[in-house]
Amino acid sequence: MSMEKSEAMTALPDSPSKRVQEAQLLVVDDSRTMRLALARALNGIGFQNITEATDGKKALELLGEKSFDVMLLDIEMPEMNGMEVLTAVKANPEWRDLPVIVISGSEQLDSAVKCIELGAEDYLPKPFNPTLLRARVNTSVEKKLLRDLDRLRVVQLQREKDLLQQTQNRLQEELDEATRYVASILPPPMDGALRIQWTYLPSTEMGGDSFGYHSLDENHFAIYLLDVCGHGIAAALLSVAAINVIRSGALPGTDFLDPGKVLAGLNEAFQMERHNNSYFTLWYGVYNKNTHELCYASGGHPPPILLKPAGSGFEVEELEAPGMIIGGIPGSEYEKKTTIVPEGSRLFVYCDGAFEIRKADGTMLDYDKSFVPRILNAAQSPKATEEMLAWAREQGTKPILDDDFSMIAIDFPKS
Amino acid sequence: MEVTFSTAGEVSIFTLQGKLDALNQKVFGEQITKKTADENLKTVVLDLSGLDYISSAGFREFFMLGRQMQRTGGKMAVCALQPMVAKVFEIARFQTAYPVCADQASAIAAVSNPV
Repeated sequence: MSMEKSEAMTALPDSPSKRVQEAQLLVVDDSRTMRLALARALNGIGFQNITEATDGKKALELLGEKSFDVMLLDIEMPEMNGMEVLTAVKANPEWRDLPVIVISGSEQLDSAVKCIELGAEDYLPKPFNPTLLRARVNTSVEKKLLRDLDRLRVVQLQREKDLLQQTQNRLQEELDEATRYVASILPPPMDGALRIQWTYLPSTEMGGDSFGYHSLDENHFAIYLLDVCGHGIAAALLSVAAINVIRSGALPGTDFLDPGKVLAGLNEAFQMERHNNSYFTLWYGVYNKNTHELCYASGGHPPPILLKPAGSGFEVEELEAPGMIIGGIPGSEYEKKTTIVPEGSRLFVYCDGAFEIRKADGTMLDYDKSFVPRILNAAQSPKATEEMLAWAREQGTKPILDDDFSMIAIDFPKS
Repeated sequence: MEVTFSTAGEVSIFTLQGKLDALNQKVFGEQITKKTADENLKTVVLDLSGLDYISSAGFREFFMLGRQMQRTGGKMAVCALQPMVAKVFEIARFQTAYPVCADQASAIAAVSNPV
């Protein structure tokens, strides 16, 4: 039981950090002299909070009252010996993580080893060497503090994770709601005088495409498809705003039977600067059920493809009508074009996402050589637009398309 | 997409290389539209000989540059469009608003025209 006073009293260069110094230490030893020596030595190396227990039973009582960061435990004690205390400590889930340094006589190495097997962190032989005491106590305290910190971090992370999950759930719900709204304003497929099928697949949850068709009066039927530049929620908001204007005819003083005027009116109403610098392309057509005339205008939109019966097959007419994108230049004029739709024709109206696909070799899919022929092949397919979507997905390098896909196929009846 | 800058007298020429889509449209804004505004360039030619693809998001950039130049009294022209890009510009009737020329020389002439 010797102690090098000089070493213990001087301020040591590697004193524990402030946090470590504030650690709560429990010294359990039946020998008063030993307890004092340990306490003094621990004080000397900077530990302020030292509690003493005279026997194992007292020690367990104290553990129940407050929490400690390290316990120094004498193995050889009457009544409850060190090993029994250690076993009790390790058996209790609340105390299990308390580092225990057992103090043993040099002849009791076997007992010390047994204690380590029982869960003690380390052992200190007596008479104890202050340097070893310092090293072992510091290590144990630091380890415990780190473990406590870690546990705190885990709790904090879980809390943050829960918060993030909540936010994500809320956003997802809102997105789902918005998607339902967009789907709800799309017109149902028709199977009456005009048979209409369509396929709509945004590239993300919400797309910048929208379309519709409705009767303007008993003789005239309007069909329209628009594509806002870009995609995502912002594009979707504009597409919904624009399609609602068309659906409800909400352009004052505009003749909705005249595609040229409709586009001009929309162009003024949706100038880019007032709409987040976004523009949209649009094709708008009006079919006269009596005369079978289809008049139409386009604002930068890819030309719909009209498949007309010819001989045993079909011939292609691209309904091109060059015109400025909607919202691009104020005062733009849009030319109205007309064509006659023979009975038994099929009209495909679509957006550029249906064919602007990058192939595996890096080149873009060829509109004339690949897309148009494939459309021609779908002239009589009952599920033409579904097929065209499947085909589009096969052309690129991945099954998910980069851009929104919209396509309508309208069958004009044979009388 | 890469942008290189050169001049021909008073006319500023931006040569675009690569593809212009939603992923890199910011490049256009930063290197062309912003430079044009900062240096108050009055006559700008966009040489698209090296541009092999343009998406709707990319196309929008041309309009934004055009409107900015109109506000400051400047003139813009594009030239040397590749077939696919030319089709996009054609469908949108871009030429009714800004000159679409076959080569740099005619584009330079178009923006330098005092009329």
